[in-house]
Amino acid sequence: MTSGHIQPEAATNGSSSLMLEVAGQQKPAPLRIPVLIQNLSMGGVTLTVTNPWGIADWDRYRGKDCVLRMEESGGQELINIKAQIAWTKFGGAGQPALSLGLKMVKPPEAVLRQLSNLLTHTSQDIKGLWDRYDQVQKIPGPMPLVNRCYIAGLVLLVGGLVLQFTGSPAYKICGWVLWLLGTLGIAAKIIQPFWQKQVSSE
Amino acid sequence: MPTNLSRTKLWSIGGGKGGIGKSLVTLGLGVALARLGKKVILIDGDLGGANLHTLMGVRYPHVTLEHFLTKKVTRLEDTIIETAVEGIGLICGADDLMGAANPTFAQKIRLLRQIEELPAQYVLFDQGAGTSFNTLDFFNFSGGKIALFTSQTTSLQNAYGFIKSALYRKLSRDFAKDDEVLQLFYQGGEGGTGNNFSTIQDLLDHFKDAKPDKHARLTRALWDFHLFLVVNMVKSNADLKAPEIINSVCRDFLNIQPDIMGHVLFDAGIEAAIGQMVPFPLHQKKSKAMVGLDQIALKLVKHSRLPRVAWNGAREASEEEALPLDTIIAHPSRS
Repeated sequence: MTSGHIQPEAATNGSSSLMLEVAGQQKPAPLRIPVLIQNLSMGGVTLTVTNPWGIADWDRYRGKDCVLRMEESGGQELINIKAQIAWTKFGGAGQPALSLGLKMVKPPEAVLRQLSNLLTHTSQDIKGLWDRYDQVQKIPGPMPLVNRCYIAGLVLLVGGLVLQFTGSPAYKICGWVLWLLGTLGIAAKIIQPFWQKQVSSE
Repeated sequence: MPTNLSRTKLWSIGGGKGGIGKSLVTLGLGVALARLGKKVILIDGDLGGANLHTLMGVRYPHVTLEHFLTKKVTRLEDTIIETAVEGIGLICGADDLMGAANPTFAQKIRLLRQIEELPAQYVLFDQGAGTSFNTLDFFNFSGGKIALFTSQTTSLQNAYGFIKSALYRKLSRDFAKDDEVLQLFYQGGEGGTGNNFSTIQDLLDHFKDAKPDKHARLTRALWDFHLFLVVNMVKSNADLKAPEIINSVCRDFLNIQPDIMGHVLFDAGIEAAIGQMVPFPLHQKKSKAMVGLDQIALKLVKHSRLPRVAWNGAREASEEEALPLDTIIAHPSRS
């Protein structure tokens, strides 16, 4: 077993601002709300409103479509993702005044990573753990031997049959050998679950 | 608490999370060591939820750790139960006494001192789940520390939390009289405190020029915390990445360099063995799990005897340093 040092991808800088755009009901211009990220899951994000003054009737935004934008201080847009406001909440004592939950539809991994970099209260080592975990999930593992046998078997079977039916008599024996080997490869794939079950029960 | 008795004798198997197979790995490792001709004693350290004896096929233990902790039995040695596996003795955990689940400092000292005197070459200590001070203290006291986990996200998180808690517990004891260092530990251990000490490396950098003596002590303490990683219930090659993740996070954020000791394959046959109350290595002729445990046992023997490079670069002397590995690993079939 190796002990290679896994390094997560470099994080973006933290000088970005997060803005939520909600389509206005009467006004043509969308309502732009500066927000902070509070928590993050695979399909959702919890935000708090940094400046709640002037936002009336907070609950009416529940269910609205919105766009979450993240811009760098230079004006370059890093995130532009459509979402839906799943819930809204008024904070109690010691809580942010207004908070909301967004439901994102299949957010790209890069977006999730950039949003996670904006989490301020997260301990760096736990973030490091999950960054490494995500990194490992992206690395495709080697194909199991039985699957390789199966694919090779299919190729050999087709090739063998082609040779046997279309080739000259000299190639027919070769074709026969090929499709026989191919059949064995496919059989290995079929037998494997039964074999595993038998070994486990022993 | 006394200093480490022997780096070679007492090995603890911990990991924070419940249900990751600590007891089964302890049992399997004990059997693997016994097959190497070693005399082994297993201690069920799960005070409050003991079941190692059940896995060993012992339904009604007549004497447990509780008898020793409550002084009904004077010597720990007298609590050893002989098992169905030759070469393995078992000290059952306490599971029905509130007091036994939370031993006092004096009880812990008495227990740890007597572990040293147990008639065995290896003592394997099966830790309970969680990160209670008792668990962490027993883990830290052991010369051999094995952090066990599975590739599941919850297990990874708990394993790292367990390792971090154990390390901080050790450092807080080592620097118990140094308020400055203690304060920095606890600030750094919490997220979002606004300080600049997010890793132990930050602390080391802080002390390097200003307080070289503290830097040296901290470096030594980190070196002392020698840890081994084992991943259990491996079902695919992807699962083998789990110890690399833990290793990487430990290196980058805790400044410790755990050794990856090996992996144990998922073995569906173990469930049947538990149901029949037969030690799983005896239940199956060819246990998939035992293949990995046999290899881990060999490494355990090797690591127990070989000297480590000391924290300042010098070699740490070992009593049996002169012995070649062939004589140390005396397999019955070879003798």
